[in-house]
Amino acid sequence: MTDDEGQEVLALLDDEYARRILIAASEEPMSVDRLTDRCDASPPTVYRRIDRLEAKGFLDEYQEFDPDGHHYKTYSTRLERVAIEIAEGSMELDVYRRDEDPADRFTRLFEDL
Amino acid sequence: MTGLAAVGLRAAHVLETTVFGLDEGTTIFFVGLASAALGSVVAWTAYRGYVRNESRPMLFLAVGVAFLTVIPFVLSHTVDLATAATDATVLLVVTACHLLGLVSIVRSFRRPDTA
Repeated sequence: MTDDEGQEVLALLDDEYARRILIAASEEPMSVDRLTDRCDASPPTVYRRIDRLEAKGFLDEYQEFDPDGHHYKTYSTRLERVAIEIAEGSMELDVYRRDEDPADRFTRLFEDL
Repeated sequence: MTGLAAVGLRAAHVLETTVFGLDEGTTIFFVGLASAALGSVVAWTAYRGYVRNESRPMLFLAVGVAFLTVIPFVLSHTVDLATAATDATVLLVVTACHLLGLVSIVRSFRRPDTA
């Protein structure tokens, strides 16, 4: 990982709302409404963090279909671990992401039929 | 001998053949057990997909796969033990399960946004 990328990851994780979203969405896929409740933040704040987290591949996005035709998205945490190693005059940062749950992949594939 | 009879004879011959030294009844049981086990993996994965994503199609798919694989296997080995059912009755129960399973899978094709 380049210095710039490492910098971005650290800046993102330094954000309290970004961390709250990652923690809440690690339980199960959550909509923006639920994340707003859980993180005690405004929807725009949550949307901004979600954009940044998705860009880094820290969140998975799912499309949900409501019976009344109102579609919405849910998010689940993909980020599993961040490792920072400092040795011999250099720092290395590694990000580990969770593989998508087979049940979620199966659902996505089946719903896309 | 007609071609059909020859096919029938050959099929009978295959059935009498033992696989890995097991008689046909035992072989049928283990082959059925393997499909039931794999079917339960697919059905369970679909069910988890339903719970995690609140996807109703996945619930119908899970029920469908269960009725096609797991439930007929379980019933075919319990109905005749628990009741005085004939082979025909057991076959009817199994076939009815298959029908229910397929109905459920067909139902799973319906998407909430088009319902």
